[in-house]
Amino acid sequence: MRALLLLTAAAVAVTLAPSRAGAQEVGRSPLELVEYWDDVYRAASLRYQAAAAEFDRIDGNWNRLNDEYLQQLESNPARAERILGEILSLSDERTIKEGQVRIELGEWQEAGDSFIGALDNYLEILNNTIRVTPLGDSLDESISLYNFWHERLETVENDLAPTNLLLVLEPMPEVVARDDDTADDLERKATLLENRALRDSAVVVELEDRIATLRRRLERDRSAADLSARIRRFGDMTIPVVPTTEGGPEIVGDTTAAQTPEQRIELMEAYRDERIARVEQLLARASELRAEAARRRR
Amino acid sequence: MNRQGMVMLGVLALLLGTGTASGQVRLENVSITMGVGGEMYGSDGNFLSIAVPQVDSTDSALGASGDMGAAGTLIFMADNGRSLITEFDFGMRQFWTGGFQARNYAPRELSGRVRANYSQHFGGGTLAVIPSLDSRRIADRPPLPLYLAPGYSAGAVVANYSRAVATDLAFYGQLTGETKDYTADLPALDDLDRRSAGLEAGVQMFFRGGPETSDPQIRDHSTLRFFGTYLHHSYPKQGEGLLRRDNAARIGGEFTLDRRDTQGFQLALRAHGTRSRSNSRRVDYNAGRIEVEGSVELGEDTQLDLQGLWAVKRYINQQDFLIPGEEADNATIVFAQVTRFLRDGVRAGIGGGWRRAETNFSGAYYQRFSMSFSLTVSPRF
Repeated sequence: MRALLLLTAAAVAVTLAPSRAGAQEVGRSPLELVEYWDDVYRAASLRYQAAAAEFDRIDGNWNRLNDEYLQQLESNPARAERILGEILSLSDERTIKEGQVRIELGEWQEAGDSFIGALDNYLEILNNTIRVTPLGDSLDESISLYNFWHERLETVENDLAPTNLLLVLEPMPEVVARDDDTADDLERKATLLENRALRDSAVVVELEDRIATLRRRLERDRSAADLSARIRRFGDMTIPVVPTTEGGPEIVGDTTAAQTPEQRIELMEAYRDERIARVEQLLARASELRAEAARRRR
Repeated sequence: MNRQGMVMLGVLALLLGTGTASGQVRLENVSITMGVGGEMYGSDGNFLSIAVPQVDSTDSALGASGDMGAAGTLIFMADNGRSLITEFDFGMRQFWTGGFQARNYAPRELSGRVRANYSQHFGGGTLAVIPSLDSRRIADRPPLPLYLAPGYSAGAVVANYSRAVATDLAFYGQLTGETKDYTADLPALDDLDRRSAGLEAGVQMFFRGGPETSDPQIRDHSTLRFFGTYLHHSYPKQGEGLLRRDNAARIGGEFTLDRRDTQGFQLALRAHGTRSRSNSRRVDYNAGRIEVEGSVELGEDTQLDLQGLWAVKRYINQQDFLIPGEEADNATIVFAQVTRFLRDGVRAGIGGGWRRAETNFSGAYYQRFSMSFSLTVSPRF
């Protein structure tokens, strides 16, 4: 029994040991570490918000120009031509800003994970302190601290929770070949569509990676479940040395999650397929425009 | 088909029918498995079990088996705060044996299990109600050294309430009621019929590692759980006038370590000790049990899965024969399987198992080695 307890304690110690101790942890108390990561997290959050706001601003302009371009296409071709130039120029900037948002989002999430790790550790220490502290001002202070940082933990977890992909497709750009378009005009329009296709392709690659990870995990979970099912199905593990009662849940906790792993995979696959169809449409249209441009050059 | 089997199929059909009408039912985690295997059985020839119909003087025998099974999950409802799911599992296994003295046996096992789980957020925690039906049938049951458990029908209801008191700490309480009726192809099997009730309380701690993948829902974690249980078993067919009633206290713990994200393995270790006292003094005992489950990723397409159990029991008073319903005093069981992921939803496994059960009072034992190959398909719907 003692050996079992020692084994369990050792395993717990291994688990609880910080896996990636960084330079920022040296010489800092758990509270100082929490405060340090809180600052880092707040700064990363502000950077992300600023990048997202900048992207939203440019994206708003880009969408407005697209609408304007479509409106002017028939009534004022010269004006539409100038707008198309602006759109192409803004497209590159928009792509760069979108990339910055992704980088800032990644850093914000990473800072959030480190902050949560530090908070978990500190709250556990506070919890242990509260258990052994007699009634008095010191206990009140510890409880107050616990409540404050626990609330902060919930806020951070809530902030980070909706970072899953926003599964909404952007509207398809309406770019068509007009009779008075020159070959260069058509080439530019084709480039516009190809840029959009490129961005969508990057999202498809990211989705493929996430789907593959989830599916691999699901398959591996099923492998372990296969063995358990075959053993249990025919009573091979049941030697009635001691009567056992069965039928209880295997875990403690919330079993009412809205999405199962299969549902998450299906959702992402549907979104990926829509993106792929969109890329194919964009490239097909771009190809048509380039063919038309080539014809007009002749 | 017996009444309980009909009820089980009826419930499943009803649930499927309801789902079709509403159009909201999802069928997930479906696995269809087919397997073949070879086995060796051995004993010291003196192991007598009250629940086995025949006696054969052989010390060793050989066998082959083929099995098929299907399992899956029906999700009827899973919205914010509520869920209703039903798991089902059906299987059939056919043996061919050789080496017995009297004759060679060809036992066939049929099994079925349906378990529903209704969960709902309640009072800051989660309340789960889990009814289940479990049935097993066996034809041409052989004598030792091949021990195959007798057929039975069982029903259970579990009510579990758990609540987190911090981000990494949860308490739970659980009530269990179960009835188990063994098939009466032997009068002695009636003695095994049992009614059980249990009350359990426990605490679980949760430790989370940092994310290593792009998916925030996949990360290393571990849990530590401690529990205490009170169990009451009554045996309505044992004893004349004064029926046997056992009261048991159990304490135990469970440790799980999920390091798949960073190191490609996971482990679960469960252990508990039981102190059982009865109104029939001869069956008072203390017992212990350790169970291990683990998985190790062996490269991109291969995985090793392990399961093991070690159980030991010591009666307080001298025993000269086995107690009905407890065909052995000590047992060791180990299973291992290497699975190769052939393609999405198709897996092949090669595995082996060793089981040994023995008595304390005579040192008699039986054991069973098995090797098997299986193919599992998980179709998507």
